[in-house]
Amino acid sequence: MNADQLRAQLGQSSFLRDLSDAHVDKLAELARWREYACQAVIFREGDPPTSVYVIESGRVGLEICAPGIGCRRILTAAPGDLLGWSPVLGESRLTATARALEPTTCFEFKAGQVLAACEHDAAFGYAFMRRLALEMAKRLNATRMQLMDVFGTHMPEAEAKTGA
Amino acid sequence: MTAQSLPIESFVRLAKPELQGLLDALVAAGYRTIGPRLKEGAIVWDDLRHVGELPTGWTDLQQGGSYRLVAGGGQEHFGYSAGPDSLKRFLFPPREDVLECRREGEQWRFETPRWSAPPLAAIGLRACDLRALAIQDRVFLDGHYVDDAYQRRRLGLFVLAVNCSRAAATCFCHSMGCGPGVSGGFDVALTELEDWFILEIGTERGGQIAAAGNWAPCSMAQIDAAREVTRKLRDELQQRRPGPGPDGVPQGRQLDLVGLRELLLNNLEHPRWELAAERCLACGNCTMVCPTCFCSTVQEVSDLRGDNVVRQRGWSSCFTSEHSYMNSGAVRKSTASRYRQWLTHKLATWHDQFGESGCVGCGRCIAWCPVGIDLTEEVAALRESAP
Amino acid sequence: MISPLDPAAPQGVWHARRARIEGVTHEATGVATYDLALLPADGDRWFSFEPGQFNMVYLPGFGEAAISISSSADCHETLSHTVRAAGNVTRALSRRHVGEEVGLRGPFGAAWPVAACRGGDVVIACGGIGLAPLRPVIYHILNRRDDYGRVVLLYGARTPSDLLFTREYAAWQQAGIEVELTVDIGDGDWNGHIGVVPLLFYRRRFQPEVTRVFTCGPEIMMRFVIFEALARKIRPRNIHLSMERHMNCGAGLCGHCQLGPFFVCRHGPVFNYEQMQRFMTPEDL
Repeated sequence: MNADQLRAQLGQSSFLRDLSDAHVDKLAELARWREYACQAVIFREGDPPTSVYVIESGRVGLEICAPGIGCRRILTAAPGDLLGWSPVLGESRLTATARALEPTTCFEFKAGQVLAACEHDAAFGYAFMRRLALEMAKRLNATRMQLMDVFGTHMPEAEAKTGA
Repeated sequence: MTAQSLPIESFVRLAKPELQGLLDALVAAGYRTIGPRLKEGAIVWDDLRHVGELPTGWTDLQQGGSYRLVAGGGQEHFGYSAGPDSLKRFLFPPREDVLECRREGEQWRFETPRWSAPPLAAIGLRACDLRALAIQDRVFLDGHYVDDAYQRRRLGLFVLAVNCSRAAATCFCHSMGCGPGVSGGFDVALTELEDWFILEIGTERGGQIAAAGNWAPCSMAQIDAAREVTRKLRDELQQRRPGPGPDGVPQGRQLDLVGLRELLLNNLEHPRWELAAERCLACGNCTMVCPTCFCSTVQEVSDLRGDNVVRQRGWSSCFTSEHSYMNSGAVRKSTASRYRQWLTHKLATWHDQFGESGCVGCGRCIAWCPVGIDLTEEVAALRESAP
Repeated sequence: MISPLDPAAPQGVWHARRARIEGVTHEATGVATYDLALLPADGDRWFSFEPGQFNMVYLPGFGEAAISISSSADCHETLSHTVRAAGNVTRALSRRHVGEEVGLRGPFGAAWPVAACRGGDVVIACGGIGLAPLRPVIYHILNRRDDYGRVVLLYGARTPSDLLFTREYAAWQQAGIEVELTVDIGDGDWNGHIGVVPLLFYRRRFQPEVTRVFTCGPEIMMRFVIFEALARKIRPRNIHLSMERHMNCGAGLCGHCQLGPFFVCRHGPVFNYEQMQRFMTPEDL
C-alpha cells in the first residue's frame, strides 16, 4: 500500500482516536504495513525488542511459555490494540510471544524511531506516551479482573475475620 | 353485650375497679385479653383477666443497658413505660408455621396451615405501640404480598390504649411525632387520673365494649384534666436535655429528624460506625425488643423420616452472620456494617420503603442493649462530626 | 390501611405449587438446567413470567433456592431453571431426576425492560451463569427481531467448558444477533478471544443515544462493563444490571436481601444504574 493509503488506514485505527491529525501524520511517516498469515509469529518472548505494533485487522494471541505448561495463551488482541510496548519503554526483552490466530495486518513502528520522534517533539511525545499509558491501564484492569478469578469459587478469605 | 353503644369520639368516666367490667365484656365477646404483667423482674405482655393482675403501683427506671422496676408507692395501674416486649410477639409470632409438607409415596402435598385462635384484646397499648402497629401494618399488609396470618390477627385485634402519664428516661416518642398522647388507631383509649379513668371511644366496637362497663358521664373539666396529663408530659419530654445530667445519667433523649435520612446515607463510611462496633456485641437484642423490626427466616423442620416437613418462619436479625450470607460469603462481615445496616434501615431507608420512619421512640433498644448503645447519641455524634 | 379479607384469596405468599422435573440438561461443570412444569392438579399449568424474573424452587427438607428462569417467556408450560450447585438446596436439586417433584413459588422480581428498548440497540454483556437470566431476553428479541435495532451479545466465562448454551449461538447469530465470546483462561482447543468481557465492550463502537446495556455476572465484571458503557456516553438509566443478595422469601417480606433502600427480590434483581449507583459502595452495605 502507498503512503496515502497507509495514512488513511492508520487514521481509522481506534488506537489513535484521541491524537491530533498532525500527530497521526507523524506516526504515519514512521509506520510500516505488515501482513501475517494464520499462526505466523509476530514476535517471540525473550527476543530483543525492536518494534511496537498496532493491529489493523485480524486477531493475535499473546502466549507465555514455560516448561511443563507449554505455551499458554493469556490474552487475545484485536484491531485497535497495541502489541509489544516494551521497546518504547526501553525494556530489554519482550515478555510474551505474539502469534496471529487468523490472517492479520498490523502497523509496525520501529521503537528507535518512535523514541527519537518523542524526544524531538515533546507534544507528540506526550500524546503518544499518554495513549500508551491508557492502553496499559486498560490491559492492567483486565488482568486484575482475570486475577480476581471472578468466576471461581475457591479463593482464600480476603479479610481477617471480625464480627460475630 | 348490651345493645347500647357509646358514640365514637365521646368521653366517659370509669371508676378504677370498673375496668374489670371492660375485661369481662371483652372475654364475654370471645377475646383473649392480654395486658401488662409483672414477670421475672420486667413488665411484659401476658394474659390479663383481672384488674388485680396489673402491675399497679410499679414504675420503671430505664437507661442505656439498664431496666429496673421500682415500687412507686402510689396506686397507678399504668405508671410504667415500655418493657422488653411488644405486641409484635402476638401479631408476628417469633415462630410460626407457614407451610406443611407431607410426602405421599413419590409425591408431596403442600398445605397452608389453617390458623385459628381467639381474637386478641390488648389492654394498655401506648402511643409508641400504636405507631409501631401502624408501621407493621404497612410492612405486612400494604405491599404486593399480604401476610394473611398477620391480617387475620390484626383485623380481630381490640385496642385498649393508655395515654402515658410519665415517661422513662429512654423514651423519645415526642421526637418521632407519635406521642406521648395517642391519636387514633384505638377502639378505646384511657387516661388515668387520680380517682378515675377517662375513656375516649374510638370505634363502634370500642363503644360497644365500653358501654358494657359501669361508666358514668364525665364533665368537660375531667376531659381537660385527661388532656392535661398528656400536655404536661409532652412539655416535660421536650424540655429534657440529652447528655449526662447532675447524677451522671441522661434525664432524657431527643432525636433531631431534620435531614436525618440524608445525614445517614451521606455518611456510610463515617468512622463512627467502627466506634459503635467496638462496643456492639452483635447480640441482636435491639432487633428483638424493637416493635417494628420485621426480618424473618423460614427454615425446614422435619420429622426423622423426612416424610413430614414444616416450613417455619422465625424472627431473624440483621446482626447475625447468616443474615446476608451468599455462597461467596456474607456481604456484611463486620459488626460495623451490621450496625450501620440496622440504624440506616430504621431511620433512613425505611422512608424509601414505607414512606415513614421505622422508629417510634420507645427507647427499648437503648435500655435492652447490654452495653447501652444509644441510637440518639449515635445520630447526634454523626451530626456533629459529619463533613 | 388494612385491606378486607378476601375469602376467595389465593393461599398466600408461602404456598408452594408442585412442579415435575421434565428434563435435566448438564450445561457446564456444576451447572445444570432443570425444566419444570406445574402439575395440573394444582391449578392451571399455564405460567406467565417476564424475562429476568426468578422462582423459589423448593426441596422439602432442604429449603428453597432462588433460581432465574432461563427459558423463553413466550413459553408458558415448561420453565427452565439454570443454576450452579453451590449450597445445600442446589446440591440436593442436582441429585434429582426426571419425573421427581419439587415445589415452586413465583415468579418474583423486577424484569429486564425489554419493551422500553424497542426501536433501539441492545448490548447484552454477561459472564458465567449470568447468561441464564438474560437468555429470556434473547428469545424475546428473537421472537420480535424487527422491533429492535442492532443486538450484540458479549459473553465470557472462566474457561471454554464453562460457557453456557453453546449449541444455541449459531441460531442466535443466524437470527441477527452479533455474538462475541471470550474466556479468562483458554485451553488447547480454544481459538477464540481470551480476555475479560469489558475488553470486548471497549473495542466496540456504539450509538449511545439509542443503546441500552443489560449486564449480569460477577459484580466486578458488571462494574467494569458499566465503566466502559459510561465512557461511551451511554446514560446511567439505560444501563441495567442484575444484583444478587441472600434471598429467603423472594417477596420483599423477610428483609434478608436488602441493599440500601431496595429489596433485591422486589425492586430488583434488575436495576438501572442510575438508581443503584450510590449504593454499590461500600461493598458491605
